[in-house]
Amino acid sequence: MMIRICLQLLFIFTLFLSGCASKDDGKTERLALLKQTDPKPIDIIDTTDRNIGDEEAVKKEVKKNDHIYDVVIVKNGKDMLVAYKIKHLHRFKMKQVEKKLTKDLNKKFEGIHFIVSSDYKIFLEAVRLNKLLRENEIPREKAKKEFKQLVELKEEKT
Amino acid sequence: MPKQQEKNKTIEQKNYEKLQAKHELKRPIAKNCVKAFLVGGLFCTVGQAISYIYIYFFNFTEQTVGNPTSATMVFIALLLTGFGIYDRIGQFAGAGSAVPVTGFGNAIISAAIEHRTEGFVLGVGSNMFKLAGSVIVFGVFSAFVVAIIKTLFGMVGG
Repeated sequence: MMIRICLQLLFIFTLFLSGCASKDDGKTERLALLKQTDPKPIDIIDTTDRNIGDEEAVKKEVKKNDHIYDVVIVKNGKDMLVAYKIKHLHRFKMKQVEKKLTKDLNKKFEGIHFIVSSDYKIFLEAVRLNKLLRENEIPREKAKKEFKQLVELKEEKT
Repeated sequence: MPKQQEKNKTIEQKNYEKLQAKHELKRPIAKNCVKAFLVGGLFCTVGQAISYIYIYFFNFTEQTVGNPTSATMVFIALLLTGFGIYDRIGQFAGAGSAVPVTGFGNAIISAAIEHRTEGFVLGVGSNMFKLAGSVIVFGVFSAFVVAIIKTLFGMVGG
C-alpha cells in the first residue's frame, strides 16, 4: 500500500517536472550549475571574436582570484556582466569576494560599468545568453532586452 | 531543593528508583543521532534539489529561491503526513524529521487531522497552529532580535 502511494507521488512529481522541461538547452547549459563551463566572453553588439580584447582581459583578471573557478562574461555597450562561480568551501566569503572584485575591476578598467554576480541563476542565464549569441540564434534587440532583465534579476531581493 | 527532596524520599521510593534504574532500557543515543543525521540530511538534499529546479526552470535567484523551496518542502510534508508516511519516518528518524522545515508542516497538518472531529472552526482552525504557533512566535521574535543586533552593528561599524 505504502509503496503504491510512494510510486503515485513519484509519478505526479515527475509529471509536474516534465512540464518544466521546455528550455532548449545544450549539454553545457544543462550542466552549467554542476560542471565548469568556461565559455568565451561575448559582446552583444559585435558577436564575433574580433574586438574581444577588453572582455578577455577582464576574464583573465577575474580568473586570477583564488576563490573563483568559472567565469562567464557578456558585454552590452558600456555594461559588462561578470558572472562567476565560487569554490564551494569559499562561499562563506562570497560577499567580500564580490565587493573586492567589483572594486578591483572598476579600478583597472575605467569606463566600463561592471555588474558582478556570484549567483547561480545569473551564471546560468549568462551562459544561455552567451550560447544563443554565439550561435546567432537571438536577435540583437532581444538579447539586449534579456541582458536588461538579467541585471534587474540580479537586483531582486525577495 | 532537589537535595531536600532526595532526603524526604521514603525507603520504598528509593528502592523503587533502584529497581527502575536496573530495568530501564538504555537509549541508543549514538544510533539515534546517526539516524537523525541521515534522514535530516536526506530532507536537506531534497530541498537543495528543489531549489535547483526553481533556479533552473523558473526566474528565481539564489537570493529569492528560499521561500518557494520552504513552501514546497512544507507542502510535501503535508502530503506525506496525510498519507501516514511521515509518522513512520518520524518514528525512525526522531529529531531528523522534526527539525527541518518539514517538521513544521507535519506539526500543522497532524494537529489539523487530530482535531477534525471537533469541527472546522473550533477544531481545525483553532488547533492547527497549536504546536506550529510557537515556532512562528519565536521565529518572528528571534528574527526581530537579530535584525536589531544587525542594525546596531551596522550603525557602529558604518
